[in-house]
Amino acid sequence: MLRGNIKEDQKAVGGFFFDTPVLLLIILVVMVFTTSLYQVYVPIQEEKDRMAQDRKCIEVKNSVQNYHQILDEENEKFSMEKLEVLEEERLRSHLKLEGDYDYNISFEGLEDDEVWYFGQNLQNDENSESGISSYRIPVSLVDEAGISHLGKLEVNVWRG
Amino acid sequence: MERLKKKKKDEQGVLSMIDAALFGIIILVVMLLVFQQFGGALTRERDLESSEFRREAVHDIQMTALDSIIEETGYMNLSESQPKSIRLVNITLERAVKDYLYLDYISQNKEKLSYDLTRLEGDIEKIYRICARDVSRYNFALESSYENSELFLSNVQEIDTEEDLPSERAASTEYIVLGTTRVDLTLYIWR
Repeated sequence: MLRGNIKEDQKAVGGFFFDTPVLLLIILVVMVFTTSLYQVYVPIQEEKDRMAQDRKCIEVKNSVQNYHQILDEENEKFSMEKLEVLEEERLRSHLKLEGDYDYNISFEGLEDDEVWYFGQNLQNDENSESGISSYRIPVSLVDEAGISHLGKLEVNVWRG
Repeated sequence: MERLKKKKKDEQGVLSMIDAALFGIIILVVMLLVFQQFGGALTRERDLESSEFRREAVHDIQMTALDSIIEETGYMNLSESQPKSIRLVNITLERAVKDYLYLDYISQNKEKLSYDLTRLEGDIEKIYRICARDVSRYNFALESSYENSELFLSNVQEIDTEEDLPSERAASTEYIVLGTTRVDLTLYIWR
């Protein structure tokens, strides 16, 4: 049962055309909103991931500094002798690195350029400032005679 | 009558547009406020983390530097008519700092005694330069004092006193004992 003449129902037809620009405007606003939200969310998330990675890097550094298997028994400094025989697997199990993190750790003697290297090699595409958390500190390396030498400990952590 | 109806419909259309525009403005304002909050919180978190990194680093640098051995250094004794070179071999940086402060104190307080400590000061700075600047890539300043003797050195030429240091810095203070006096040795680092 139609009430009134459908040909006179101009409101329905006119109403649709009135609403079209309004709908377009709303769609535009919502699109701008979601695009901006996405563009802000992505860097924020990346920054948060980076901060978590930086914290992980400090954790690894602290863990290495407290690993008795590589410390000289007398003075708690890093022993060159023990670094020489340290097995990769033992260090990895000591670090207990969870998640999809990868690492490499290097000890470098500053006087004789001797290097002890543990962990994964850095790939070229990963070797960018943004993808890696690095921590470099001077350390004392003790040789077999008990003489202390200045060295460098470098810890790199990144997502594998 | 037709004209009135058309006018009414036009007004409805304009009102809807105004509603939509208001909706858009409100959404954009809310968006700006949310982003501002996010951004501010993130910046604060980032700053906190940077300072945590610096705090860790300054302690590590200070401890390693103090343990470091200076293979050969020395100073000039200018007290006698003929200046005499004093050689110090395999001394720790801690000992070098103590010697510097004590000899400088004597130079200032005993008229007959005078020392040129340039080499000793240079070798102390060299160790800190290796530890802080070359290895960890931080700028540094070291400050210590004993009575009226003072030691202040930095890799940045413009920094001569503690007041010149940037506000975003980390510090680590270790104490050494000179005679019976406790002497603070403070290391500052910044990027």
